[in-house]
Amino acid sequence: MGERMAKTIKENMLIPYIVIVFIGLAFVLQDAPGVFLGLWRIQTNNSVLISDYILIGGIGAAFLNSGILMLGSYGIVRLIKLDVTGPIFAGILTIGGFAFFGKNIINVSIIYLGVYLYAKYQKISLKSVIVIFLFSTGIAPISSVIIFGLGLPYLYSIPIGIFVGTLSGFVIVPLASHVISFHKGFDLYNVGFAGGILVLMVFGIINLAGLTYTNEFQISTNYHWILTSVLIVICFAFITIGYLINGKNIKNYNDILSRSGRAITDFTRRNHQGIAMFNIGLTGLLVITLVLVLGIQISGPVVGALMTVIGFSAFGKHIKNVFPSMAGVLIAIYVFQLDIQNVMIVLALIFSTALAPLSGEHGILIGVMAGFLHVPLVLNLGSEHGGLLLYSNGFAAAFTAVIVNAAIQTFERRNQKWRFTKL
Amino acid sequence: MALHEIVKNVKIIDEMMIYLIDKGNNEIDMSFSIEEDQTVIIFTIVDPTPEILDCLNTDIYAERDLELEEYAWELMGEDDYSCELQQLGMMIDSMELVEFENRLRIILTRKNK
Repeated sequence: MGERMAKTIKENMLIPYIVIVFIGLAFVLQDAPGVFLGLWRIQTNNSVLISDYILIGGIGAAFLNSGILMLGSYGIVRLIKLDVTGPIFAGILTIGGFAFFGKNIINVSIIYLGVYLYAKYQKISLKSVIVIFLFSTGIAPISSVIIFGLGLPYLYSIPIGIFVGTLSGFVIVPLASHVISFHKGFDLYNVGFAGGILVLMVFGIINLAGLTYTNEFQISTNYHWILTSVLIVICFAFITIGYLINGKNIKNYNDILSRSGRAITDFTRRNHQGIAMFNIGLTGLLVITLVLVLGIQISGPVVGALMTVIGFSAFGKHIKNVFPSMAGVLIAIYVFQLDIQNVMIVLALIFSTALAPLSGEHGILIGVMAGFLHVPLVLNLGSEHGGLLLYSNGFAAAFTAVIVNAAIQTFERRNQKWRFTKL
Repeated sequence: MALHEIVKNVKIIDEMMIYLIDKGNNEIDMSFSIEEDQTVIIFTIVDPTPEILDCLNTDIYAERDLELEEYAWELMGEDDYSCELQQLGMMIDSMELVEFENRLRIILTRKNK
């Protein structure tokens, strides 16, 4: 691989190529009129958790929605002269993933506007809040619900939806910075926690006002193999290109595996983009393999969850720290006799990897315990935000992290760290 | 300089002092200066511990990461789990280590944004 090509890939982390593949696939998998009609249906859906855009707009429209959102986000990142670092890669992949179930061009733009206005108002560069800017879109359903879900006349619902969505984006920036100290970086989906707090208030107001909206909660698993193949190809591309960029070796992979993954861990730092890409592909591939072995059918939400894991494999997750929490969730599924085909359970399984830093820092047993505790929390907290928060697992994971961390600190003393279970 | 930036600088000092003392260094002088385009923080350790130079080189990788700074400064000083000072490294533009006589001087530089 030429030096110039390698430099370009290190700067963009293959995002433009993923965008091209997604937009291309949109028109291969669905006819053009169907794609655009489906895209419109997606934009005008109330988008609460869980709205499978593959079912709502069609497979092509869902891919186009995802491609456009990743392209727009990437464009903004490059416009402010930033390279795609670990957290930015995680942010863009998370947006692309959730564009299969809850994020669309309209609701994401409104939240983006709020964060942009916050930066303008505070007279700070958008660069300094770009990570929160990207992740803030987890609360995007707020404006979709107000505009399209409450049954209000558009004359009122559009300005109110834009106003509330923008205000939410405005407020989430300082909130996200502050709450990270609550879980001390052990919940990788930090904005999920910040967004959860905000959404509790918005949902409370909607409830008090006596307003209701529907949550159809249906998914499509008709494209299981197509979606699986796309994700597997992406993972293999990252493994291969990462290996080549890293000088055709993986000697420094242990540098990544030795990290706990606790926020803030950007695997691309120290010019480690090559090995970070290798980790992205390998971690993604192994998690996809586990999902397939468990017989889970891939739908829009599951694609989103898997893309999020792939994204965060540049920002804290690796093959040693993701599986203990997933094992904990599997034990909980067995103990509580839960249905592993239920999409909420599947999401809890995949998104439990938000707690990867706990196993990275404290070892396998703690990771398993955290995963086990995550299940009851996420299943109960789901009803508290009415589907307005897409990062439901990130919200729950913050509580799990705090509880587990506090328990560990209770037993730890200086020079007596709880590390006997560490890999 | 905005109060927010001053707070970040003070947190860097706080984190470094904890780190150096925790590594067994008992006599440390500190100086702080805000210049036109940068802020310079200097720690001078008298009789530094033998391993501190290696520790600093390993634990601090100075590469300013503006996009993560808002997270980094909130997390700094939270606990003593990870002693690699990675957050601190994200908040400084450069680190220089100078040895002279029985002293070690650590010069941290942060460009004013």
